[in-house]
Amino acid sequence: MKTKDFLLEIGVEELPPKQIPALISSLATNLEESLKERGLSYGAVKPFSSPRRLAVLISAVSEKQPDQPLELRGPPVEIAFDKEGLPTIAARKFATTCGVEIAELKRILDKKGEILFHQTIKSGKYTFELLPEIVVQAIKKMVIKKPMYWNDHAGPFVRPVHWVVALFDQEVIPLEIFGIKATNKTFGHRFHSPKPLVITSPNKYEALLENNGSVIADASKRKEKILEKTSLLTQDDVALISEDLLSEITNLVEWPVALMGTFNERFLKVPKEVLVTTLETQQRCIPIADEAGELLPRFVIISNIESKDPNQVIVGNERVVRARFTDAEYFYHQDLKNSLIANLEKLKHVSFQEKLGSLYDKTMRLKTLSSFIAPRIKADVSDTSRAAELAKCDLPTQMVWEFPELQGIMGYYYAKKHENETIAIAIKEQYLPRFSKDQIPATLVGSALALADRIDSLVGFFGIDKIPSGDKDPFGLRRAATSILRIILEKNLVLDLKETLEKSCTTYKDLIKNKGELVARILDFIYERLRFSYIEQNKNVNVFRSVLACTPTDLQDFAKRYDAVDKFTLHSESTDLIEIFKRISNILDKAKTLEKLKFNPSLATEAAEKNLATIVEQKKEIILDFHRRAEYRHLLSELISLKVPLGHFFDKVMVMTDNEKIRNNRLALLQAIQNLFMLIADLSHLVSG
Amino acid sequence: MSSLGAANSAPKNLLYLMNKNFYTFQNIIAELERYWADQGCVILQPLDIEMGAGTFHPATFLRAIGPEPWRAAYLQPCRRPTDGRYGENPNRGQHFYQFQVTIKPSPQNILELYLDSLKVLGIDPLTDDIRFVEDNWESPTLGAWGLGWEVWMNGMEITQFTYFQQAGGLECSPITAEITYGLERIAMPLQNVNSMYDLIWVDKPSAVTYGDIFRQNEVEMSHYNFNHANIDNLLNQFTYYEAECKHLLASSLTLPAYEMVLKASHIFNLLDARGAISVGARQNYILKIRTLARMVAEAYYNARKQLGFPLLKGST
Repeated sequence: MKTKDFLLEIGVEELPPKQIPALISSLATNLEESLKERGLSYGAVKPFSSPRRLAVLISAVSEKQPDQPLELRGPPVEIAFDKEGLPTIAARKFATTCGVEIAELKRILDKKGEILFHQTIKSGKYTFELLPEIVVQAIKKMVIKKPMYWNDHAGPFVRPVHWVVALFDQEVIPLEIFGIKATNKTFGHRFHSPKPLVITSPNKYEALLENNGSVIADASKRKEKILEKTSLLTQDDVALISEDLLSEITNLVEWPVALMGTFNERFLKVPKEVLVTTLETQQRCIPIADEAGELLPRFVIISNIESKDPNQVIVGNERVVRARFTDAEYFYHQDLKNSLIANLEKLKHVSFQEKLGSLYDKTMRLKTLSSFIAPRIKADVSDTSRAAELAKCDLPTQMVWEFPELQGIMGYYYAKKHENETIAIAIKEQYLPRFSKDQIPATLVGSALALADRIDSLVGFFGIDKIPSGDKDPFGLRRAATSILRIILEKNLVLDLKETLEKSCTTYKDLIKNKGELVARILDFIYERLRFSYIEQNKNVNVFRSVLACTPTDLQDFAKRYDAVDKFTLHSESTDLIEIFKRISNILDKAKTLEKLKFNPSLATEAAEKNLATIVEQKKEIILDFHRRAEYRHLLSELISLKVPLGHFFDKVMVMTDNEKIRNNRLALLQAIQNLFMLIADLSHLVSG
Repeated sequence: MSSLGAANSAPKNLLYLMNKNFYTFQNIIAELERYWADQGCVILQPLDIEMGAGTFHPATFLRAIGPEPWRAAYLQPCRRPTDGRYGENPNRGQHFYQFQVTIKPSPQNILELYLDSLKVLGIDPLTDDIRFVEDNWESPTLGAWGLGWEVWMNGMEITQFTYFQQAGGLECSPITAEITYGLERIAMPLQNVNSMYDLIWVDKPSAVTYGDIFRQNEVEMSHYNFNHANIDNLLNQFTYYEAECKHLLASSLTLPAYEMVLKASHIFNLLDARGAISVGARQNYILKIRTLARMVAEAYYNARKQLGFPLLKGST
């Protein structure tokens, strides 16, 4: 089949850099879907994107849709012809639809009887004719976060559109969108190459822009260029460039040029996080550190032009950086004039949440709750309590007002003046982990505070019914729950969640209601996050459920049970034991033995029954002991040893006998056995075999 | 602009000594006015009421509403009491100048028009790195928002560029393009100075600096804004202007009502600087002003409609 290359380019005013990756992928996907829908085959899809363009090159698009056999079914013969055998209106209409004479119509047998029938071949349309709608549909279906209008209400699109290139091989596809007709003319760099450039064929697009337009249209190539040029400047030093910053810078330039700026060494006395944040988020410049990780008084500027006088660009950037650093330095010294604790009073006037009081109230709750957590996880109690008191005191400082993302970090620096290092570090660590792959607190005091902060928020927001739903989680409660799990599990902390949540509820006094039910809901919520993380790690969801059914509230214990049960499922005897357990559960369910029954050995009549009772009596203490010591694998081995006597019991003994006393006695025995099983997990959730 | 290539390679303070291609602060204003006058803009004067940004001038906020075409440019002194630094900060003050251009509908070549205006000031985009960096503008008090950029020149934000999407809660159609030049920020690199107070306002026969004219004002106004403004009196004034605005709207006096919004807004800013507004109350005040702005916007639209949208007649 003959194929041709296709190119679409949308020329726009400067796009929001952070949205570009999603925009171009949306456009490329839509084009592919649009082609597929129409049965058109195609080869490689290559996306291009820059601040001023979104383009997709699709090679080897079939020139024509494949021909398709078409079968048309008409009216039944008895309706199509009258008694004289002359064609009726129905027959004539059908013939017209098929575009043939009535005589040419065939007859076939259908479910309804004999009908008129016509078979033909629908020839596929030419791709060139289909492309206008394909392109327009693909553009209109793009997912745009904040669409806008311009001029006389043109739009909606991300930014105003200035040109559209749409080529099928060498031919311009006749289409118009946002009032702009497609052509074969693109535009290069806004300043270096303002004149139109004619694209003679789609596959020459990239080279034309690079050689004649001062534009590197391939974003990944531009990214490489930025890294390459940066490392040429930094040499043995290290460019501190995060993936986010790199991607943003890549999408702010079409023709990257790296330049080196410097700043006065005196600014290095300001906390380095402040300098790095200023350079990264405000100036989109790249900070530099030496091999030891110490910040250097230099930074890399990625400019968008080959300046006639690069020094102007450097001096200009240095001027702004100096002004911003001067401001930051001023804030830092202003803030240092007060001790951190002096800000505590100010927190009375800062709201945490309308219904949950001020940040001062939150601080007082944190103090109580973290002091409750500290001894349980073996963190120093007085350090924890002091850290909690100071935890939010950096929020009213000038620096955090200016750079909210530095909360905790500034608290660390300001606390160092009067407090011990452990307290200062805990203030910083309370916000860890900030995102999914972030580090967790290194210290125990930091962990106690981080846990208290998250638990307080969960209890508070659940308490006033601000619960996440769907993709809405404005208070980051899912992340809070995940953070709690990570801290406890990765640091191997032993903390009873139920007890801790209950404690947190009491610190809210009358601000929240229905505390008992609340704790259960939050536990469910936290375990739901745990389930997600188990799924992510490809763990066995049934095992998870079987353990969850016993509602352990200590996560370490949960993990131990999970591991034991998971290993158990691989054991050759597990299938039988699971079946037996399910049988026990079924019998007990059917018998509706709600009250606790007591087994009486003297009422046992059958040998198998007596034997089982004796073995259970022997094993009971051993099993309870393994349970106390959380040695769940041994516990399961003991349960496995019950398999044979249980098998005999079910073979020989009828549980639901007519004699009520004997029946209840047998149910009591089964109940005792079920209780032993339930010490670790509810095996009925497991799939046997 | 080809003459600039060679001249620009010399340091700019030398240019001043050479007295060639040097832009005094008032030259910059005059050049911008002349340039935008050539683009058919009505050249207006500043509004004689305190405001936080040129957007509040009726020539921008109100004219963005409704179908009538509009082109205007004007200088506007702005007051932001909380930004006062007692004249100590080289970049920030409670009083500064914006040069504002507002055109409806936004012409297709509006960015080119803007870039040409920079060339008029001697900025060569092949020497200076000019960048359009996403910055979406929102005024919670005006119930207005738009999409656009902050324009960077070598990393310095020199202009805010916005395509209005909504004003006073009303959808904009056609769309107004708003260009707000931060004059001090443009002038500093042009004159190669590091403090706005060192800017040369006029150079002949002897130089007068921005500091000569405004530093005392910065110091005294900072003291007034932060320490002396009478809180109780301001609170009363706020209540008065709020009521007066509603009262005037009831009498269909749209433009006077809008002046009351401006007054209330400035008083809110002063109270904010005095630390008289708690975090919780803050939102409430903003909401009150937005409500007024919305009411005025709607009344203004209706008033223009009753007049038959007079400016539509002039357009083709």
